[in-house]
Amino acid sequence: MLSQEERGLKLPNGSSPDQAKLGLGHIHPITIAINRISSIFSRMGFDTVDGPELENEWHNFDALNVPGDHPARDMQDTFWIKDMRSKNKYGEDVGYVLRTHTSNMQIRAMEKYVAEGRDFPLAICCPGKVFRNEATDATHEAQFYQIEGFYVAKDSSLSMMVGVMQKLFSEFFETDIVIRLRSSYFPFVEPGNEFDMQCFKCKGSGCNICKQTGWIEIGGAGMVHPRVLEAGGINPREYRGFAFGCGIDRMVMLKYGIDDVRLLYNGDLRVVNQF
Amino acid sequence: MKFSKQWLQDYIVETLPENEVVVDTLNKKSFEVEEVTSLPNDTVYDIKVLPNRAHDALGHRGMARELCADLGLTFKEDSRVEKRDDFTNSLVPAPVLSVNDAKFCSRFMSMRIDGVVVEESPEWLKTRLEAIGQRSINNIVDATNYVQFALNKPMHAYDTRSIKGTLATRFAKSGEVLTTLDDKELALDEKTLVIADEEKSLGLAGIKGGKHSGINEDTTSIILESANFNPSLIRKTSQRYDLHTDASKRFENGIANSLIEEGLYMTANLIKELCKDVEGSVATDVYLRKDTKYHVGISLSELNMILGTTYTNNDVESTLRRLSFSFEKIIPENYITETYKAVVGVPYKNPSSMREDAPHAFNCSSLISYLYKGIWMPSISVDKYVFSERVKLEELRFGDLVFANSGEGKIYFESVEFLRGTKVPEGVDHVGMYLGGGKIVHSTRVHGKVVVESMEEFSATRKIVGYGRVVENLKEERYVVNVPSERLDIRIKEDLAEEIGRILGYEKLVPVLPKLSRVGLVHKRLFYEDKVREILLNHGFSEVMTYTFGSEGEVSIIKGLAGDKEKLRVSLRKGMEESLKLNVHNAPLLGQKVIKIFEFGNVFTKDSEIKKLAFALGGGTKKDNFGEEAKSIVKEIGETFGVDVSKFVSCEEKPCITEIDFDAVIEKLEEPKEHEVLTYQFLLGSSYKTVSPYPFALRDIAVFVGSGTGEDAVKEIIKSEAGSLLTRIEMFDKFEKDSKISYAFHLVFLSQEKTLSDIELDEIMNRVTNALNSKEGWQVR
Repeated sequence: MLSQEERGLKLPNGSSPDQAKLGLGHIHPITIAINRISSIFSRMGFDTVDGPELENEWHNFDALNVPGDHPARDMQDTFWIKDMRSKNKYGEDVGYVLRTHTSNMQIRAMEKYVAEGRDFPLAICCPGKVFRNEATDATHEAQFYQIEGFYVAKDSSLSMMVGVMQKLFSEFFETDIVIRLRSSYFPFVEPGNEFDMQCFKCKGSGCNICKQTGWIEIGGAGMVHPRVLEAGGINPREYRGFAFGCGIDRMVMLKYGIDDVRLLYNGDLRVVNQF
Repeated sequence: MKFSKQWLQDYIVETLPENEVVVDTLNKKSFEVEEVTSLPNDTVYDIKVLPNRAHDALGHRGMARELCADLGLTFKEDSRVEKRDDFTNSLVPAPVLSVNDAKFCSRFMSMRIDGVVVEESPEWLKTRLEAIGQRSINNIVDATNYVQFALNKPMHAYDTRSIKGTLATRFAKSGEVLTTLDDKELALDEKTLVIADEEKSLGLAGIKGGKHSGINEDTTSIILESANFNPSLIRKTSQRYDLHTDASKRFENGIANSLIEEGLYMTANLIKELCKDVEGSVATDVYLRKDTKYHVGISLSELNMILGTTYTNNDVESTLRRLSFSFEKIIPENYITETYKAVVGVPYKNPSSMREDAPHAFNCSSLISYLYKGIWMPSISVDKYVFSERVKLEELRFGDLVFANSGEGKIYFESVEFLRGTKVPEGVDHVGMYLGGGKIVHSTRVHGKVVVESMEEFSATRKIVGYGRVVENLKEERYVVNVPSERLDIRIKEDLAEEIGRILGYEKLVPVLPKLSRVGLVHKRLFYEDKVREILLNHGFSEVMTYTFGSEGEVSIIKGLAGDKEKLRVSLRKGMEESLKLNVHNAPLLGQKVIKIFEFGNVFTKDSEIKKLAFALGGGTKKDNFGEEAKSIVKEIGETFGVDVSKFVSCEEKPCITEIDFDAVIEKLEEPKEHEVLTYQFLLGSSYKTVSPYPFALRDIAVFVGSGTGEDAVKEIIKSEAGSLLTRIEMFDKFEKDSKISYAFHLVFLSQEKTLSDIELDEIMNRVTNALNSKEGWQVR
């Protein structure tokens, strides 16, 4: 019997010129990465979910323990939407934003689980487009893709989060990867972390990819804040969760050595045809 | 914020280790160090302090405490924060203060100091401030600044002459104007909290001082202000006036009221050092809303479950000591047993708050929270009901909660703060604690005090609606930490888990995987998208991604990146057009005659977000019938899904762009039952070639060769002569004549470094031509 991975092999392997000869097109590297990540998560038992890019303030901020007047709102430069308002589930007036992270899916996934009365663990990954209102350059885009890993169960722990991360990054970069947590702060997690991966190229000895440090900064992570579980309708006395998120663009750029993120979004086949 | 290593050293007994160790430790355990700068006698660390630690670590003292915990060093206090009477003279009139509302100003302290001499600051003070990027002004202003960056407590000094009567916090009057220290005129509104005397506003509370009352060279008497303001109010005001200062940053994050007195005394003591012959008034203190003590508890097993570790009691205790957290060890069952007896008879008071009123008065729920010291639970009774685990009457044991509906007054039918809005049809307005043997302790309006009653007595005036359990094991020991007042970030057990986890080191975590006995499924939309990708790829289409922002659309962004990027796309058409244009232009470089692209993307209307698919064809020749090909693809998608797709399609002929409402197409399709996505082998990291920012150049060449010569032999010679700038070579014509063959090639040249000039290209072409002509019987045409 074929493995999940092999069954997914719908296209011939090989380099791009061969594909052109066969008359086959090319998939965008972001899609390749999303599919690959989704498969890795799937083998760990995580579903892949999808959700809105235009999100209400409650799902993007308030429910994630980032209330309106909190300085943590400044941590992300936000695109606010003009003349668009609705009510959250408590009947409170909320505005709209282009989601600043895929963490909105934490809340949506919990709400869905609770509404459908599904059994825990809740284990999902959410790839998706996110937006930041900041000047663009070779490493910053106003739109980019993130992947979020999210797990809620009675046995959830920081060590388990590191286990999932190591599996994801090792399989994605096709080499054993060590993940390192650093202490940090995001209002929706406690403890809160940033995480680095040991450089996939030099394995920690220092090279141009990791700027001679042996480590590459990847994303944010932590144990889901009890208030976030509550906002999703889950009693934090019974369940704990972990969540981590990082940029897919960054993973793709690192993996292939793409030097300018903007090349991914201008519809340029000079890039896509190499995949 | 910038921190001086010498300044930090003041607070640490041992000598700080070398910079590399300090930086590496801070990075892992505490904060990101963004920059390290060496000065002649000091090192400056630029450290990114995030909002959770802006309460304590935006000052050298707090950062030094952090370093002590991180590195296992010994903290020493600067005794200037203590009240000293050596220059107090009761003849100096103490400032009279008034606070309009404790909600906006929780504490206001002040002191008048006479006999000051305003002059240049001594060298040590100037050096300190300059090291962290602050300009030295004069000794008085520098003293207030020094305290701000030492304690994380903004301070302000007024010239006594400029203040008439009572110093007050109040809201500004409409039309009031304030000139700030930096000569800006602000028109104040009624939502703005100001510090004012009897005549006028003196400054924006917590943000910026006014020019009128500032310190001058001839100032001889000053009034110090040390106050604490509502974080949310300061944040809103600072945003409204677009005034962001060192002070507003600290107040908007919130600081402890203990800093108000420490800041005042430290400033006064420092001024006494700087100007020898000063006399100070007694301090005035208006402290209307007292900070309450927080006790946060965690058990060893809870800690290890959150972190996924096997730490021991020793690990926990030594870490709490390193953090200078005082703690007690409590076994809840014993604690509750001893404590409830001590509070029987204490008066009932409603409303009452556990933190403010206990143990002198209780309502029903504050009593429970009090008895469960070090175990977090929501405060009001209905929330405790929703929070706790339901148990049956026959399972009831010591410490369980007994919930009741008294049928009188306000009965809650849904939760208020915890899992807000959870329905409780049975209604709850009262809670007691079961003690075993049929006894309940509760604080009740009926008796006006805390009483122990039998279940029968308890239920005589109210209906019991349910029983709840808070923790599984009441005999398990807990560490209950007496949270240091500045640490406003430590309120729940997860906060303690972080403190202990990071100090012990996250590198000690042993990774494990969750045991999920299933394969994850993929969202329906992504599942069916890949089915379409497969079809399009087989037709030679390549996937692109374009921008969500544009100049056309129904949904607008309030402040976009540029004028033409303020709308969200309502269609993928624009992106497709631009991508087609770009790629048709690059067609020779791509080696494609026809450009075929597609995109999956979300588009936005006033009331919906839809996933659309667009595919487009461009380039080619007149002979290509793009319209037919597009139609056949639409048909194939429809057949694959068994859906009549045509009604969801909009087509354009020039350029040929087909757009499909993908959400509508898949709406009725079933949910995927297995995980299936397109996967194929990854490119090796090194095989991606950077896209050149320079234009490519085209040259053609045709050559006659002998009849036995193949295409490849000619290509080889061209390639080797043309060198690395030749990016693509493609034969476009071949014919035989008089036992000779003619081959014609398109050559595409591209440099990664520059735009290629005609001269350079001509040189290359000459080289190629000569090389070809030099072959026996070959002739370039």
